[in-house]
Amino acid sequence: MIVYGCVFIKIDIIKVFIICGKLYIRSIGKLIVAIKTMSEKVIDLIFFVLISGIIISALTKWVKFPKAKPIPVTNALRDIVGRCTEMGRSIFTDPGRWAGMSGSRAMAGFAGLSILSHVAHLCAEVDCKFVLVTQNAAALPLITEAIESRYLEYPSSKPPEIRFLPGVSGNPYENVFISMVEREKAGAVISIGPVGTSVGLRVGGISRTDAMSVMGTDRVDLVALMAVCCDYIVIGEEMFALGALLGGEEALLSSIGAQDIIKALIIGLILLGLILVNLGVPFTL
Amino acid sequence: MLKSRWTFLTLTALAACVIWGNYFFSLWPSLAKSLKNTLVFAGAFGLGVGIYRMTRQHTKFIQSRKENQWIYSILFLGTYFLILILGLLPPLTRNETFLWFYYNVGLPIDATMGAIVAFFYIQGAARGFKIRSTDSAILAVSSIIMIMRNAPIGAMIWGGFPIIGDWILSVPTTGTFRGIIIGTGIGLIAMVIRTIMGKERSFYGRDN
Repeated sequence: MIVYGCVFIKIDIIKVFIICGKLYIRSIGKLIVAIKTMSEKVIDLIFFVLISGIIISALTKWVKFPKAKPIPVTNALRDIVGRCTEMGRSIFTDPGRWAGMSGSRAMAGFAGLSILSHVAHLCAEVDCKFVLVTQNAAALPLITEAIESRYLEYPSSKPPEIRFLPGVSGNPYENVFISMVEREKAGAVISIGPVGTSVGLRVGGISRTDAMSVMGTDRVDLVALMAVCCDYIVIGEEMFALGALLGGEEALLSSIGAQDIIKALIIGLILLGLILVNLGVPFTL
Repeated sequence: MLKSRWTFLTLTALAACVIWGNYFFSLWPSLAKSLKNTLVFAGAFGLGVGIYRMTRQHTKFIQSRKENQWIYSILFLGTYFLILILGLLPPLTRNETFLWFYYNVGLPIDATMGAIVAFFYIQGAARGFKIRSTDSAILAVSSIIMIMRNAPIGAMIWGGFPIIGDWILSVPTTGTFRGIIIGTGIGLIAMVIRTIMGKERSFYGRDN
């Protein structure tokens, strides 16, 4: 009798759990439907405010986030500059072929320029020849300011060379870039920024020379070729973080740590979506 | 005052607020449009700086008779200014001589360049196929499978190539793409915030 009672209680508890679960799933489903009916821009705004809030709290030190660890290329840049100085060779750089001053690709260009500005500073410190090649007319004043101002503290260093190559086509630009690297026997090539598909030509060309190569881009489809042909690569978000990592300020490092928290939240959302989809609740926004 | 970092930061923050307000709440449409147009003017100004810098550099090469360079500099500057002047002749960019140069010199050179570099692309890809590390081994194997998936002979050799190829495209590739894109998006927002707050200063020169 007691055993039967326990079985009934067990079954009841399971039933209660099932009912509660169904209600919970339905309420989540309703929430998702409510989110779906919201404008896409409202969802954008929610995520933007959330991400910005976390980053601002890290930058203003309201919340303590774990500091970001340096990535291999952070230390490698100094070594590369040192190597080129010892060998008496120049460093060729390129902040990528920007398609203008606005949009996400332009921001990738700024990120690339931020890193190259640090490299210029390292070159100025040890009197290493720094060459920047660009096709981007729109950003040329900014590029000039970012690079040349790094040399103001080191007037006796070799001045940086900023070579502007007019044109819009990628292939001739890459050809000229590679020919300069080969002709002038560059010690290293640092190419970080929004590059196009023609960069395949550059990757192949650089691997023919003995120059060290550091390349990075925000374009995922070009990363694979860079990964196998270059000495160091900077993938996607690393490009946006590297400028801050090189700066080394505590708040900046903390803001990169905060990005990991945001990523963890997004992974949580993805997992929630995975569970809900498998339970039959549509999770597509 | 204009050299001050705070002037720059205030202007950046104001411009960002206008653009965000316009995107999220459809506020200040004309102001946002004007700001976007300002970028076009800034770009045009930048082109002027570029032409000046380039001309100065090549003139130096010619003056100093730089070995293996100065003759090319003469050729380059001559061609560049010839096309520039022809392009500015009326009717603007529709001048007959300018169009003749464009269609009979510029386009064939561009096409020739494209045809020549195709072999260098293949060379670059072949270098990527050299198995020197685990990464390159993965790239080589997946590339071979993808080539076999797309080539009609692949399915004839082994029926598994299209199935594995489709799986590579839909599962690992899509997953990786999305992961990197999400990370890039977060990084992008973080960089914008750092820039507006004046923490990220390296791309506009030394600290003021």
